[in-house]
Amino acid sequence: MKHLRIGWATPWNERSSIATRASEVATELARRGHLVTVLRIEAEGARDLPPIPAPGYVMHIDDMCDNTLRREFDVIVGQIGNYYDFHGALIPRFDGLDIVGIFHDVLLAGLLTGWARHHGGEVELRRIVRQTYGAGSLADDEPLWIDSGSLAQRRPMLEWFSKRTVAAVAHAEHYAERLRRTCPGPVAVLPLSFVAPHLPPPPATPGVENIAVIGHANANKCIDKLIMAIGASPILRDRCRLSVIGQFEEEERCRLSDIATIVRAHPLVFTGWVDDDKLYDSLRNIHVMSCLRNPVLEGASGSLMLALASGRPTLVTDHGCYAEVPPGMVLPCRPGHEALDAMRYLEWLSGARQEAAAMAARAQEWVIRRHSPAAYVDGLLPLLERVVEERPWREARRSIRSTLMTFGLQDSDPALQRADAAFDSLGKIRARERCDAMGGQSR
Amino acid sequence: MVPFVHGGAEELYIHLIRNLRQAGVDAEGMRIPFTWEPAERLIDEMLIARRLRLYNVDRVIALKFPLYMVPWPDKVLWLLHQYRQAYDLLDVKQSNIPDDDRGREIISAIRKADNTAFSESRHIYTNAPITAKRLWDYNGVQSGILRPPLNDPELFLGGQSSGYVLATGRVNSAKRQFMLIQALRHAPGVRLVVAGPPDSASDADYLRQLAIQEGVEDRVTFELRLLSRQELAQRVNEALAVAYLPFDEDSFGYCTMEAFCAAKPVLTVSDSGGVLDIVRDGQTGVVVAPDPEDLGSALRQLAARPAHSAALGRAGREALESARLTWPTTVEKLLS
Amino acid sequence: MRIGIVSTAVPLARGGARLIVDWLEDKLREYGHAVEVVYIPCTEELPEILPQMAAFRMIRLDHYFDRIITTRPPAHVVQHPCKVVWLLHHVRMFYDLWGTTYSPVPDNEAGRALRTAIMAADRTALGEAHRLFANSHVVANRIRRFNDLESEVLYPPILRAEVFRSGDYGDEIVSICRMERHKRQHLMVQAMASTKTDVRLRLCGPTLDPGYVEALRESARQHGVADRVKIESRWISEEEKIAILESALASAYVPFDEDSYGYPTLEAAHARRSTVTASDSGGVSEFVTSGITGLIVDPDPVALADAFDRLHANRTLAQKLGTAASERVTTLGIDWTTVIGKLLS
Repeated sequence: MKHLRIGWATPWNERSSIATRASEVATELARRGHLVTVLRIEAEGARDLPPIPAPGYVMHIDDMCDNTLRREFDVIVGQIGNYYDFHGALIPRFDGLDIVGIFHDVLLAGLLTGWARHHGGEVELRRIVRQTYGAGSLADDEPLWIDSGSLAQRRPMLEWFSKRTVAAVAHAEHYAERLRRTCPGPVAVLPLSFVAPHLPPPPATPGVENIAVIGHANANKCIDKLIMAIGASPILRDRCRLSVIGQFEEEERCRLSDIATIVRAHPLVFTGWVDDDKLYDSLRNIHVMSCLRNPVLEGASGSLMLALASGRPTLVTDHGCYAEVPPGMVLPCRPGHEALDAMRYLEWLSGARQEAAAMAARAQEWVIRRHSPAAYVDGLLPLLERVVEERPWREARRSIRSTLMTFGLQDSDPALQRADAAFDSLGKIRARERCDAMGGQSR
Repeated sequence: MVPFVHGGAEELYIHLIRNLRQAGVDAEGMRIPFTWEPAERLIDEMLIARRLRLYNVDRVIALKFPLYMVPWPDKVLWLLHQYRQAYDLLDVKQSNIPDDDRGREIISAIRKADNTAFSESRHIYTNAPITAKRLWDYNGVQSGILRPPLNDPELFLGGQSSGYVLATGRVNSAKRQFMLIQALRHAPGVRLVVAGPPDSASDADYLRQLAIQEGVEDRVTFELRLLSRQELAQRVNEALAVAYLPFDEDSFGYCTMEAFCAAKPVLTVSDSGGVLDIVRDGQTGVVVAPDPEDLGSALRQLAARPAHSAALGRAGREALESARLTWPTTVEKLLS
Repeated sequence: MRIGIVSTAVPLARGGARLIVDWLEDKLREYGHAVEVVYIPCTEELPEILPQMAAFRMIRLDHYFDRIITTRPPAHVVQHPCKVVWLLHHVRMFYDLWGTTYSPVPDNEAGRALRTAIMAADRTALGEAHRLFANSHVVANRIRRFNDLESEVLYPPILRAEVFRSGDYGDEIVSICRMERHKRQHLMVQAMASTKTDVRLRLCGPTLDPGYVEALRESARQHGVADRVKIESRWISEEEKIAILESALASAYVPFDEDSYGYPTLEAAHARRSTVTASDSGGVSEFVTSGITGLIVDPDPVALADAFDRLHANRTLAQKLGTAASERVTTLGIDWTTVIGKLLS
């Protein structure tokens, strides 16, 4: 049994849901004997957030230089999410370190923008966009910021990061292909790790449907469409009450409240940011979860996991990772038709409590099994082992390339490719077969 | 190195190792095949040199591009020439490096890597003032001049003149043996011996034809082949004078050093470059314009005044001796 | 034919691997071929090994040579359409020495990964060769076991076997061999303390490890055998070698798991001297059969001492074993005609 020394580069605070996911996986890795050291990657003020409990040492990645990190760890795994304050300290380390990227989000423009605030601003950002997506990807007169859906489609900046990793993990198929095209190393698709917390069962209150939207009240959560679905149906208008459990901006709260008033729906409840305990507690009187998303910006959805694990019927938009739930476990709305479809499902629910409960129970069982940290680690370890095994080759390449750089050559110089070809011709691929065939003998 | 090619640089390499050992130094030569075509290849060659690793030695003496880039903390360069196609030959459009963007990148890479290698060296010596000048002009690098000495001075002891003028060295149009044959018409009675390997059969044929055309074939002896060192030394030792007319030579030339070592005067011409650093007209030899008539007149003079010619030759030997061009002094410098 | 012999070398370090190249060069020329030797300097610093191999692989040889013969590793990674590999040994710290105190490669993830990478590169480089020869069964077996490839055994002869002479069998056990830890001359010195006869020991050869030689001298003093143990730490010329063997009692050669029978064994045989070796000396036993062409004993000083004494007490035995050793050379076909024929096939 190999025991890897893993540098676990991740946010490590209570506010980051990625940190929660990462800690579940880290705990499982440590349980199997691997040495996991948490390297915090928060930037700015988030650096000072108190750490969550860890299965090993916790330090900030800024406190260790590249050489030390290379020496101390067999492999470094970086959690990449679209929030600079939580992930920003990882960015400067891609050049000097071999990092396995865990891609939690498809859209990473926010992360990069945060970084650019201190590194060349918009000018630099525009250069990076063109460098990553071609000269035609951003016209001179076109604004950098467009709606997030188009951004996710055209220039999510995912590729800028994946090119810099040595292996990548996607949490759903819908963006794995983008990683496979750009990451120079292997790519694995692993269902997001999710440990179901102890959640209260749905309440048995007839005649009422309390619906919850969990997470930051962004436009892509389709809350407006949900309100309209409720308002448009005389059946639902009285029965349904909508809670937004999560952070919100005042402007968005006003906009949504206005819509509710206009369509004569019950006023919305906004809780603001709550910690996990409060969150779980506030599910006590919720009957239905809404995970409508349009566009999809995340790789996999922690809210979806929570919704399914809670044993409540769940509305989703039928695309992205939300479409990867097997049929008969969620209420899938067609993208662009979320309001109409949601209205029909909610109307159906009021008369089909038992069927709905059975569906939710199936989903609950499925999500807990498929998304266990153990399953995640089963998939992650072979990837890490491969990265560790190929490390001498990567370091040799890096070393040869650095010599060519001293000649003043650019990263794209054909001489670099020729040097790479010399390595390739030494049969890296066959190395793997051989190693597998040798099995225990090499230990 | 280029496998199976054996020229002056290879001779120097062999004799350097031999003389280092004679000086009591544990020395070994190492050579890696060098390929310069296509120009792209030059980058790979530099990379190879830069990625080789030495140990178990105190000092590295590096002679050639690109192997002088091999990293070593105590490295002395004895530069016979740079990769001239990235420098002076480029300026006169005699380069294999294409005149385009990529070509410029390659040249920049060569110069950058060269400068790194030069800056890492403890001492840099060049084989001639012109090499030193190029190094200064193109790279801003100062170097000492360390001319390669004659490898076998013990063979060139001089001796009684048999009255002929001897042309040595490789036979080709740049070495201009043809001009001596043309000059014979203007130097009645003077005998010429041309002894050396022709670059090609046509170089040899041309000289033979020319002698017939000029009607001087009865006064020219051709030995157009690679002579053994002993054979060559015997021809030099018995000559009246040695004629050596290369076009713009970098260094003194081995032919000059062999002649002076044997106390023979050297006849050369005003555009022979480095040869003129030691051959002074009327002191150690005769220098005239590169013209058959002038050469003819010089040949006549040398033949007509054998005692004066011998005196010039003796002065040539003294000039060579005062330049201290011997292997022991050379090795001493390279080890300092 | 234009032939390039490509080998790695530690500058200024001489030894068997150099001799094989020098001799092969001479012999190929004798057979009328144009030959150039390319010695590539080489280090075994762990982080340098793979980049160094890539650099070797980039050296262009194809337009200069019709055939390449490689010897010392990892010269075999060079590329040529007609590459003949005559492998003298692997870079052993990654192979059979891995996991022993003789290997500096750490037994951790990084060390294992590097080992796997080197093995894979070797397998590619050896597998692509036009012909693959090993200098002994030991090396051939390693090629099979570690690189999963078949090779043919081609024993390396010495340059001029005819110069060796055989005189009276004296009282000196000789070791003409580089003095290095894994050659275990220390076992011989320790053995001298347990001998019961007047047998003498003579160790001569150059070293890269002066500390080891000093330790040998110290050991001889401590065991009180300095007067019967002669240690000459320098390069031994051919003439000296011939003279030393001519009057020797026998040769001793007890390396740890050596790849081949070793030149010391072969040279002794040409001088009609048998070889005392150890049961864990690897390829030496391909040549030495105990009681027939030499003596094979346990790798411990007492057993060695006993072997030394047996030969000293019984010169007839020394002569009988030595003569059989000389005949063994012919039986195994250790000669240049065989070698050149195979390398150019």
